[in-house]
Amino acid sequence: MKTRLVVVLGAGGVGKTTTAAALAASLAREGLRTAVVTVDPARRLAGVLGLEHLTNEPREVFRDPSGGSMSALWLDSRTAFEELVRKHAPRSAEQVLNHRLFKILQSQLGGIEEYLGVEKVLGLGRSGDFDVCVLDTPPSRHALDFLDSPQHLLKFFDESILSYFLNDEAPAQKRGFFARIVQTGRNQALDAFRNFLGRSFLGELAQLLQEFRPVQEVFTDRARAIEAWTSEPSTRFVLVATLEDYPQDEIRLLAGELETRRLPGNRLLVLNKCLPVEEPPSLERLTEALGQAGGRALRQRWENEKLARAKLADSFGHPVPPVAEVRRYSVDHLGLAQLEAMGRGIVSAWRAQHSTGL
Amino acid sequence: MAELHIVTGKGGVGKSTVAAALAMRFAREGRGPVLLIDVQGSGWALRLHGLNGCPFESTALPRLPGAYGARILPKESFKQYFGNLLALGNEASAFGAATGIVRSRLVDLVVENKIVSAFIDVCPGLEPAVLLGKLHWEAWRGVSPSEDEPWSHVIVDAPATGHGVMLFKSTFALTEVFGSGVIFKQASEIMSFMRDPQRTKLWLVTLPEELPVAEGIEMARELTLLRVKPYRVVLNRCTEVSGTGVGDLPGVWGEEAALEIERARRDADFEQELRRNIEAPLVRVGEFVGEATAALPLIAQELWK
Repeated sequence: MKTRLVVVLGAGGVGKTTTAAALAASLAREGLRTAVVTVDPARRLAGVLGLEHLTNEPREVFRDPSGGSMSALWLDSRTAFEELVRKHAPRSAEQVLNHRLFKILQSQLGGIEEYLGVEKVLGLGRSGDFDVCVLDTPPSRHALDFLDSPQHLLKFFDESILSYFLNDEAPAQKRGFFARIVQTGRNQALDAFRNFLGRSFLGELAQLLQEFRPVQEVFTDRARAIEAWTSEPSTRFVLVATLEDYPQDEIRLLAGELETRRLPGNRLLVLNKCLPVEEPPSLERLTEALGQAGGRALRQRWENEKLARAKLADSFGHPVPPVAEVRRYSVDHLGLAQLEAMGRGIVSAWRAQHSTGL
Repeated sequence: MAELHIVTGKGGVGKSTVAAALAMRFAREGRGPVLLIDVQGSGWALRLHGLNGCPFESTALPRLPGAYGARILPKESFKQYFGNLLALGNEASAFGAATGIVRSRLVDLVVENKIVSAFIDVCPGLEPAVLLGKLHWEAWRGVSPSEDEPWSHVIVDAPATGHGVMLFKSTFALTEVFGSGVIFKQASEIMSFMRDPQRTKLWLVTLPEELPVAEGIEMARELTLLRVKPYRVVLNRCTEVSGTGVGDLPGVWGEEAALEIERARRDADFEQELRRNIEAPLVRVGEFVGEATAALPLIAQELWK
């Protein structure tokens, strides 16, 4: 695909969405047409991006004289799923949407939120309207859930799975005494499994899946497309963390996972909400300003951050991917200008360390 | 029967740390063995007590005597649950007399089957029902592996984001709709256990920040609809700042001090908002910087302040 994909990953609460928006904003000022897809921005950020309401279509945030532009999309996963059903299974849409299992499916089907993000970003990429698409991933149970989400859904809609449980007898095998015993045992176990879930449940599920058939092709297509797109060397994986223990742990796991999957795109690090690198004033002076506990906490945090920074090389091996540090900022004063400045800072820090940063 | 403590909250709010601190507190009380369960998480709560890897079976926590850890995953829980069912339901058959080994071989046959395995992955409602079943079982009848003694406390580091509530929500929903399956029949029993405030205590962890507070309130509202009441709201990582003047701190550090003071003001606002909207006692926990393991005893102390 001509459009470059930028995937933003990291633990919850580290500022993933803000980082994603900042990158899109600063690249737009460089003349690129950018779009950011997010699932759950803070109110303040949504306001900055002009996303007062959920939209399932991109909205232009600004247009730059350079020809660049920034768009943003705040995904409403509930309606997006319904839209998907209406679009691809128009004939049975009503049956599906009113099915009593659908409500449960909608909120609980593993990976659905991730999938819808993928679906949207693919749509934007294919439209050819953008040079860069930034995907802000929802915090997941598994690091790279979003990649597997179409595959995961496909498995669900594979009807052979269900017919297996609805059929009463598995094909009989007649060879040998032992084989028969195993077969009997297997049938018993399957029977127990059916009782376990209940016939009525399986029946209703079968009916729902039947109605869903047309959507299946869509998932197959998306599974292939996202795999191909993420495997392109132009794709970037941005790992966002703070210098605290837990988020550091999380990006270590993420980096490992990317390694396992042998994805060729560059890794880029963002360390968010950091204190200044330079030595703080004496403890007495900090205490004067912030009280004893407050002063000590600030000093202690600075020391921890110093340690965490030193440990980065251990976590990522050599060379460490390009790292950009972002100072803490006041949420109350977050505006488009701050966002752009943040993005500019990140991008130029990367470029200084690696020629193909972003 | 053990007291079941479920720690919920959005990702990154310090849920695992609170769960680990609770385990420390209960283990030190010495009322009996304690089990700390990580549900589909990254195992952080267990690592804080020196347990690496992801054991499914309860394993002694290296740095916390009297406590055990386990990381539960849907497929393993399912296997255990289903195996028990098979053992109970088939006495009359030729396999009723079969040894545990043959039985577990049968369970393997079913669970390892490609189709069944795929089905377990994706079947709506199955995963939460099985996970909840496992938690209930541990609290109800679980024993420590070495002493064979019932747990005094079972502490659960619940899955992040919506999944924590989803655990209850979809199990409830399915219970109401489908009564014929064994699993959903059992689920209603499990639910009454979860609704009993003497047996189950739900800790709702959040941070003094916009999104976590909004989600905490939403979570409490959803839980109330399910008739599960939060036991405590934990407002984690509050600043300890008491000064009001930035003084003459130089440049960047002056900015940082101003940010700290702004934070303290926001903390107080968020605390009020939570108190107004959630009907449960609120506990403030300070910000502990430094190695997470060193902070555990301090956090444990604050949770009972």
